[in-house]
Amino acid sequence: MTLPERGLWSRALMAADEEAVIVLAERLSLQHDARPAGQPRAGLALLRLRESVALDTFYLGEIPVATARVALRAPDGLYVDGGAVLMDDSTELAAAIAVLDGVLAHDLAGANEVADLVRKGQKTIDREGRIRNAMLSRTRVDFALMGEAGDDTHS
Amino acid sequence: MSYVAIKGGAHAIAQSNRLLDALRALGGDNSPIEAATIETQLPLLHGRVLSEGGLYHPTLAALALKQSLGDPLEAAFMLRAYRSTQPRLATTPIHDTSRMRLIRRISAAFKDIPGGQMLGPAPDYLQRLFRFDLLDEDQPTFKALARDWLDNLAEEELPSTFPKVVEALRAEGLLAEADPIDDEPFDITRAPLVFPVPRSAALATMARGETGGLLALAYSNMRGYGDVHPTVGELRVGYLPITLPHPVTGEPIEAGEVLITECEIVAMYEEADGGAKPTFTLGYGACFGHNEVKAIAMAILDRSMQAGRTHGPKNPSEDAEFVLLHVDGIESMGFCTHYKMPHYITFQSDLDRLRTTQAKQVARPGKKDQTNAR
Repeated sequence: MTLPERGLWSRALMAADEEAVIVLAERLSLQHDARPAGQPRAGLALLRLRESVALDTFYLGEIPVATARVALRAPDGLYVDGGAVLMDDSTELAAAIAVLDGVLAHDLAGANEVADLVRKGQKTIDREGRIRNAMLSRTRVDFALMGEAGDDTHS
Repeated sequence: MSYVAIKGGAHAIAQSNRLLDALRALGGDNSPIEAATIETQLPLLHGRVLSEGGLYHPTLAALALKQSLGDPLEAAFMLRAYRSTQPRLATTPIHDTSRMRLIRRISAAFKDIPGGQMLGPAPDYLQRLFRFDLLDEDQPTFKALARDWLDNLAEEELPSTFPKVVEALRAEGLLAEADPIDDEPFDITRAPLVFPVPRSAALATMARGETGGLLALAYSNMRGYGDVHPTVGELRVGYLPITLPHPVTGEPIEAGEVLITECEIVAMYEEADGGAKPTFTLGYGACFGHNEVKAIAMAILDRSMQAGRTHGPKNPSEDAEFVLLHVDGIESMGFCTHYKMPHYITFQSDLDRLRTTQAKQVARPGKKDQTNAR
């Protein structure tokens, strides 16, 4: 399974086992001398939506958001950044995912383990996608005129 | 008349709170209901709380329902109270619902809509007959429901997005052309409604409005106090991916997703200004969770208020001030329940006035005293 693009890593890691994410992030934090680049924050974001009849925008409501940014020491001694923004209210999880994001984005030691976790999470998301697709395909309406062949007879 | 400070009742209040909590367990030999169970097995009730609370926090919405003993108004109130304690970190970029990952999509306007109609989990074809077997549902039977449905889950070749019915109508020239409007929307969580309000304020107010309140006002229009005569152009239920900028790169990343219901209604056509062709008018509704009645009612009210704005309100549902100030469940519930609170001084005043009026009438029999009557 190929690694999804960076824009999908956070969501994939949220779908992975949370304890595995935290444990791996703790280990890689020590290994790469992770330090926060700013305080992790949790709060709310307004969800701005474009409605489809006049193409106007409005706020549908609010969503929880947690965000974190970390600096990690690369082998050359320079620091590189990792970050995460999640629809969640756990700064601990955001900080952990920021570490994993930085390790994977800069191919630091442990990147393979992070990639495995991303793939596991993505697998869960893909399975959810298959379930949703089945919800659609199994309930697709087969219209036909009265008396014509093709009336809905299957179960 | 005056207000006086009184004390007393603290013990009774503490015991009442304790009793309310104990009530959950006094029902006999049952187990505590899990918040996750509320979220997964009562998704429609849960969705109402998400939307009326105005905060998409599935775990807290489930907890609120548990804590409020299943009262959706109280549960939504808890979400609103919680959100008022949280810092505002961001406003998302503009999200376009054409990217929704659908689980249901229907149209009452055309049978052959591009991409097809898919019923998804629909309550419309139930016969409203009891299934008494659910009174005694055992765990194996319950688990088999999911197992059987998931059996033979195939790799379905479905498009990731579906075209909108209104766009097909627009392409045919049956709807007015629309250009994207990117004005900053009205934030109802930070500013009071002072009328007239922009449409963005109306949509936001209705999006977190109470389902029954919206339905009642939309129903008045359907029954004849108004003339929207809607046709559901499209009704969609699905998950909208939420993108936010990455804290390092600034590139949009997927931070999660929200379940929403969205409805576009096609209403009566109107003559256009300047000799242009007449086109259908439209109404829009959307809310968190799976709540079709709310989305349809909102779309009808959106249309009726637009008509009121253009031609002047002729019916209650066309009057934005009337609609928007009466559809919020937390405000209306709060006003209603405040009448339970002690009004000893004001009622004493009423008693005094009544007794005075009665005394006057005894003194002057046969003569009505209207001065103090309400």
